[in-house]
Amino acid sequence: MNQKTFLRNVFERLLRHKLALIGLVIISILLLLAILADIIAPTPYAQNIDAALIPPLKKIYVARSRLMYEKDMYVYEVGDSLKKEYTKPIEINGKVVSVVFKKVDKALQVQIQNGEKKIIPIAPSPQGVLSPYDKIIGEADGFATFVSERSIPAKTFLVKFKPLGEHVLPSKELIGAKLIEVKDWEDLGQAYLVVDKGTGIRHLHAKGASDLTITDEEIGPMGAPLLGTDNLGRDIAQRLVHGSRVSLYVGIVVEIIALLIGIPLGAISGYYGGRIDDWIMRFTDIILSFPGLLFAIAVMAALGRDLINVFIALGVVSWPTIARIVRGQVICLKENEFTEGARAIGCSNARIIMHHIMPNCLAPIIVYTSLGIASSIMSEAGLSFIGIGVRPPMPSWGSIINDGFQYAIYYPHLWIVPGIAIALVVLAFNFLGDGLRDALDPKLKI
Amino acid sequence: MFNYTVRRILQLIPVLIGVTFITFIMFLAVPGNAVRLALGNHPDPVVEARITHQLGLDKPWPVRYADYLWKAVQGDLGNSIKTGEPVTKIIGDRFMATLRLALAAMIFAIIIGVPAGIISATRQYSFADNFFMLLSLFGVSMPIFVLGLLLILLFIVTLGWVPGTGYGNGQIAYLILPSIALGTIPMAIISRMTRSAILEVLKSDYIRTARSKGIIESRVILKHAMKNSLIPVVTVIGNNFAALMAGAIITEKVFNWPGLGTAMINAIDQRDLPIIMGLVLFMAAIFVFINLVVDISYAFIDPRIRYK
Repeated sequence: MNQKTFLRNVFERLLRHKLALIGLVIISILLLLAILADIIAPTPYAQNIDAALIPPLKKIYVARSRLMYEKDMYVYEVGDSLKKEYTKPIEINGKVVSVVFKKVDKALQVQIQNGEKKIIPIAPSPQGVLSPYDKIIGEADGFATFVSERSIPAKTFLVKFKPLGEHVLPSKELIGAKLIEVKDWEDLGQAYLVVDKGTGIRHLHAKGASDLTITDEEIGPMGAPLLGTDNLGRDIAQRLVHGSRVSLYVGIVVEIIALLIGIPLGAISGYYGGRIDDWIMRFTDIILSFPGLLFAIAVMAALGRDLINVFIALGVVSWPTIARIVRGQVICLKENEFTEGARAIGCSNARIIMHHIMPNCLAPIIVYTSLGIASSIMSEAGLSFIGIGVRPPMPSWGSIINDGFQYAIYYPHLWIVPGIAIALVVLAFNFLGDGLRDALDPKLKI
Repeated sequence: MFNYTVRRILQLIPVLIGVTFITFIMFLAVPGNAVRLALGNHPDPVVEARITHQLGLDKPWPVRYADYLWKAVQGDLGNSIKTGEPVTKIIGDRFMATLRLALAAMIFAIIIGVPAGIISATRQYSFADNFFMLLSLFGVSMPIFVLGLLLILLFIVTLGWVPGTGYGNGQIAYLILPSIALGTIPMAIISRMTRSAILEVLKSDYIRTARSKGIIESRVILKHAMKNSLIPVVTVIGNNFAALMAGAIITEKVFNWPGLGTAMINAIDQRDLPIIMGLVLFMAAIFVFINLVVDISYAFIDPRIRYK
C-alpha cells in the first residue's frame, strides 16, 4: 500500500497550487541571483560619470562638431519645473550675481539681483541655456519675460548639456527625445552623445553646437548597459543583482529574529498564563501600538543607517505578531488530551512545550513566516527609499530607486525594473504563504 | 456604553506611557551625542553647551524622561535643534495635509474595497472573484513608492491628466494620485476581509431563514449579511487608517506632499532629534487614538460587546 507521509502530502498539495508554484519559481530565481551575484555582476560599485543616466541598451559615442563656447550664455535648470521660482548664483562678466528665475507657462522670467535690478537680455532656449539671441516679449516689475524664437523641427534630437560641472535636467519637452546627451560642451569641438546606434543621426541643431557629427568611437567600458546606468554612471542591472542579496538577507534574518523572540515569548505567555501572560502581552501591545513602519523608521533614525540596524529595526517590529499567533495556538492546545497525557506520564513543562505543543503550532508559524518575509522585504525597500536603509553605496532595491528618485520623471529606467523586482518578490512570498496555508491546513485563517 | 468608553480610555494611559517611554529610550540610545549629530563634529563649545543645557541633556535620563512627559502632557514637544521652531507648531502646520491625504486614501480604499469584497463573496470562484482577489494580492505586494511613481509617469508625464505633484493649494486634482497610491494596500486588505467576512456570515442559519422567507438576494446581502460582517471590516478599516500615517511618510516623499511625512524625512536628513521624536510620538498617539475609536465603534455596531 502506498502510504504518504504528512510532509509529502503537504508538498504535493503545494505543487498543485499554481500561484505558489509561480512564487517558488520567482524565489528560486532570487536565490540564484543572490548566490551568483559576484560572478554575473562583478562591478556593482564602478562609477563612470561620463556614462551617467544612460537609458537601457543605449551606447555613448564621441561626436565632433564646431561646438562653440559662447560667453553670454548662462545656464539655468529647466528641468525643475515643479518649482515655481528659484534663485541661482551665476557668473556674469566675471562677477557672481544671483539671478531669480521664474517659470511662467512656457516662457521664463529672469531678474538679476545685484542691487540695481538691471535686466539683461538673456532668454531661455529649450536646452536650458540663456543666450542673447532670444527675444524679450515683455517687461514688468523688474522681471523680463523671454521666449525662445527658434522652432524645433519634429525630428531634431535635443541636447542635454552638462556644463560647469552641474547636471542640467531636460525640460518636459525633452522627455520624448532624451537619447542624446552632450557633455563637456566647453571642450571645443568635442562632445559625448548617447544615441541609438541604429538611428543614423548625423547632425544636431542646438544652440552653440552646429553640425554635430556622431563618430563610431564609444566612450567608457560600459558597452550598452542592459538596464541603463544611474546618476553616477553605475550599471543598474549589476546593482539590481546585488540588491537581491540585501532583500534576501533582510527577509531571512528578520524572520529568524522574529521567530527566536516571538516563539518563546508566545509559548511561555500562552502556556503559563496568569501574570507572566499579562506582562508579556502588555509589552507586545505597546510595541503593536506603533504602526510597524513608523517604529522601524524611528529605530533607524535613532541607530543610523546600516544593514545590521535594518535587521534590528524590522526584527523588533515583527516578533509581536508571531508571539500572538503562537500564544493563541498554545492556549488552544494546552487544554488538549495529548497535553494532559504528557503531563500524566510526568513530562516537564519544557518538554511538553517543546515536544508536544510546538510541533502542533508549526503550520501557522510556517505560513506566517512566508508572509512575514514578504512584509520585511517591502519594509526594507520602504526604509531604503526614504534614505534610512542600508548604507550607501551598498545597493538595495529600495536605495536604487531612491538614488534615481531625483531623476525619476525623466529617466523611468532608473526605477521601473527595481520597482517591479520588489513587487514580484513580495508577491512571490505572498503566493507561497497562501499556498502553504492551503497545503498545511486549509482551515487556518491568517 | 458610557462606562465602556471610560474604561477603554483609562486603558489607554499605560499604553501611551509605554509608547513615550519606548520612544524616549530609543532616542536615548542614539550613538554619539545628539547635539553633535545636529551641529557637526566640531561645534562652537559655547553653542554646544547652551544647546545641551537647553535640551536638558546634562540631566540624568529619568529626570529628562519625567520632564519630557510633563511637557508633552502640556502640549510642548520641544523645539527643533536646527531652527528653534516648536515641534508642536510643525505638527500643527502640517497635520491637516497628512490627514487630508489619509482620509482621501481611506475613502478610495472603502469605495473600491467593500464593493469588490461583496461582489467576490456573492459570486465566489467566479471570474470577478478571481480577478478581484488577484488584484488585491498585487495591491498588497506593490510598494507605495513604485505604485506612486508609476501613477506619476502615467497620469502626469504621459497623459497629462493631472497637473503635477505637490499640494497644489489644496486642489482636488493634486490629491487624487497620492490617495490612490496610499489607499491601494488598505483597499486590497479591505476587499479580502469583506469577502471572507460575508462568506462566513452567509453560512449562518438566519441568512438561510431570510432567503427562505423569499427576501430578494440583494436585500439579504446588503441588509442581513452586511450588518453582521461589519465588525471585522471596521477593524480592518480602523487599523489600516491608523497605519496610513506611516505609509503617508513614503507617499508624501513621492508626491512632494507637505505633510508630517516630509517633515519627518527632512528631520531625519538634518538629524534633528526633537522633531523626529515629536513626530514619532504624535503619529503613534494618533494610531492609538484611532484604534480606540475603532474599539468603541464596535460597541455601537454590536451591542453584545458592551456587556462583555
